[in-house]
Amino acid sequence: MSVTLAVLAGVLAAVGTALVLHRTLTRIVLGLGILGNAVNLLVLAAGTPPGTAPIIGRSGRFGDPVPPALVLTAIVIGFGTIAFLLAVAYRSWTIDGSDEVEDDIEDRRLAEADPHDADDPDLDADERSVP
Amino acid sequence: MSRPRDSVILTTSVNGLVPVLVLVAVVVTFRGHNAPGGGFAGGLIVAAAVILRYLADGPRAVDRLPVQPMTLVGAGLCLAVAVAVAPLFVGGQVLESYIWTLDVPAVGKVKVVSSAGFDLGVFLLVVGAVTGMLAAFVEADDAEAPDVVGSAILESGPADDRAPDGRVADGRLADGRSSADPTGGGPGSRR
Amino acid sequence: MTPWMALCIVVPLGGAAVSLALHGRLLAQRVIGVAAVATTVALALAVLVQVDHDGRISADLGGWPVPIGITLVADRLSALMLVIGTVMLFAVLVYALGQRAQDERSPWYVPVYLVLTAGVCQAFLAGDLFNLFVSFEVLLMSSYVLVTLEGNDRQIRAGITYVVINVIESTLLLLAVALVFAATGTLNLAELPRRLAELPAGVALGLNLLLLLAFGLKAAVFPLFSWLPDSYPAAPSPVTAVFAGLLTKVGVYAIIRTQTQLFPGELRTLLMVVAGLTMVVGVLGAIAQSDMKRILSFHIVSQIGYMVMGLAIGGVAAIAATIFFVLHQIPTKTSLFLVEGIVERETGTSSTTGGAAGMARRSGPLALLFLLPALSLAGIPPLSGFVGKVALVESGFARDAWVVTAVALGVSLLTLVSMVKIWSGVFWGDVPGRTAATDGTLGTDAAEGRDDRDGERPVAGVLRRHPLMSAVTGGVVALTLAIALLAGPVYRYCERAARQLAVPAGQVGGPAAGEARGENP
Repeated sequence: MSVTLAVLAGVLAAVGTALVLHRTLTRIVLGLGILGNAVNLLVLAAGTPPGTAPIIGRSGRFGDPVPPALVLTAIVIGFGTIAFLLAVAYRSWTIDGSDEVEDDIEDRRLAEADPHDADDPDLDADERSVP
Repeated sequence: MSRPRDSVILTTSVNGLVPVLVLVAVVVTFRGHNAPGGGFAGGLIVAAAVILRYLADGPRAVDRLPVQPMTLVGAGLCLAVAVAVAPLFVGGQVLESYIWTLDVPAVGKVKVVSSAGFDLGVFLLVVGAVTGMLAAFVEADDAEAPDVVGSAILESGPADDRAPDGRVADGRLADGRSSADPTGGGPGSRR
Repeated sequence: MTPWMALCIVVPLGGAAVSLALHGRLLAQRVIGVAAVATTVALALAVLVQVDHDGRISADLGGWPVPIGITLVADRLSALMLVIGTVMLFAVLVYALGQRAQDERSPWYVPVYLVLTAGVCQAFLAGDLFNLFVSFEVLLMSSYVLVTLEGNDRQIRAGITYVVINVIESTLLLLAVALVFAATGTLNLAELPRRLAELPAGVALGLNLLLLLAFGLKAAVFPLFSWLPDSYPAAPSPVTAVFAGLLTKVGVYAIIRTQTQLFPGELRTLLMVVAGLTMVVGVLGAIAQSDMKRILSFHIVSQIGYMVMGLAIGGVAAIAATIFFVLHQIPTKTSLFLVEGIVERETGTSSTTGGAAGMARRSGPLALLFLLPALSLAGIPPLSGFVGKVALVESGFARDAWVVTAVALGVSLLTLVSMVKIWSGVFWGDVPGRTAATDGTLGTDAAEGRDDRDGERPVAGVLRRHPLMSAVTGGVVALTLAIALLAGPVYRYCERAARQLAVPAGQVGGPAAGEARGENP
């Protein structure tokens, strides 16, 4: 296992995690991309040393096809996901002009509500007018 | 983003590049049987050509596409699934591959592999999906243009690329989001 | 060999392809969608019959043998999940067509839904971790689209959380799969138990925890559940129904598989704690909510706890109880969300604090369609939830797992409390504002109460206005009743499935797989 690859994967994972923890959606998307690349590198590093393509009928020292296959699949999937997330981010921006990930609105409303008033008819009336 | 770039250098070089890219894509797709390459890589190259066209000509490039991107995705997936299922009818297994060696006069022996059809399906799917995404983004951008023209130009001039509160009609981006999906379906069908 | 398993994946994918090519022709798309999913149901039944006869069947795609090619494997557990899963997918698709909602009119709905179907089938049939990873991605990718199909403010906000969490989950899963491969040199589920047993205990534990983390995120167990009640309610009702019924259960299925076959009984204490906390936190969350959809979403979490509890208790009896519980849970949960969809369609809201009140007065049969699965969820005899819970509690006592069993019983009670909350908020009371739809048949509800096909013959105004939705809901409720009625044979099947899972690790690989391949030349 190559030390360079392992260290690189670690650094990328750290960078990705830091970015994902932001509240800005574009940074999260970038972070997810970098995190994905970190894992992809790790998968490659976890594989056996390089060799020739393992095709039946050929000879020589074969490389293990599974890690590259995993990585290729993951790259393709990552490509689709990032494209989707960017579309969602764009949509979010066209809706309210912000790039922030919001809290669960309903949850916040519940947390702010006074629990003792839950069955209060006044509150019911208030809420009835909300929708 | 929606304005065409009036760069002579870009336009001229794209005119020369696009045919070459398409050719490269075809080669990459068909050598993918037992060498690096394949339908996915080939499809991406063609999609890159379309994106280059867009960079040079602006939205016109997308409007002028000869085929609907989603039709392409559908056709590609159809082809891939058909190639996957076809061996069942001759007693084989799903996804089984056959190799025929043909003697073509003047060319010599040509190996035809049934899985090339699968690669071709993936190729079409990827081209369709990526151009579909591009088209959706361009469309969403265009839909915003009236806002820019209507308000931003009057206030701050055309330098403002986008109105920050530009609203798009509901469902407009459905194309953009959904076109990402066949790409997700892609790896599943590839295997 | 029989191509049924492969066709389970290929048919919906082919349907998706054709319906994409027919872009813009909604009617044709719907016909293809319904036909493709119906075919898949038939194929899944064929797989079930064959599996119950042969024990385990496998298919090597493309004719490549195991270490090289992709293998599809079906044992009794996966065949059962396949059947119930495809039946639910079929029911919800028909329901969605009857709903005539915004999202369903989108030209993307049918193709994406079919890709989701293919992904779910592939997940249940995956014979190796690689394939499992890919199938998770396929179904996740289509679920992203379904969650945000309308593209409104609420969906985008909830969709972002959902997508980001699931992308992280995929990354973790990929990492886990890669490390498993690095440690053992194989990803085949039949081969893995033997190789994993040879690993040092610490390495195996690490792999186990990583896999559990990834699947636990998908299944929404205790510390990893908070994304679910936020994102599911934002999706349209039929989509939520299928997500609630199926997607989390795919995660549970993966946990069952890894915890029984790959790492048998290793994390029992951890699972026990997780199970208890999942049940309690889920149900407390449900009680605090004031929206039917959100209450039900929290219940998804709470009920997942029961499944993990069965796994934690361990042993054939508990695993059988878990499988039965999952089987009961899928249609029950789905039908509750389907009823919610009708309520929301009728009143425009699913709030329990007004707006939707008095549904029972407007439609007695609809109230019944809610009441049956709700009581089943709470575990009231003689419904299917009761059978499942009794089996779980019994195995808990048999294994001296007193604490978690007591928690499970307490949570049952709290489940009932929150169901009462929905009942009193949405179904009981007077219809607010407008006059109730005159409903002359209200008095005959009790007489027809036991009739399974209640929903298929809509007697009240509400149900008559949504014939397709009501028929499907009635059908799914009938299915839950059927599970209760046929509890004996169904439970025996679950026991056979559990015994098959409990086969010692070493024997799972070589002989069983080899024998199955021998049968299918």
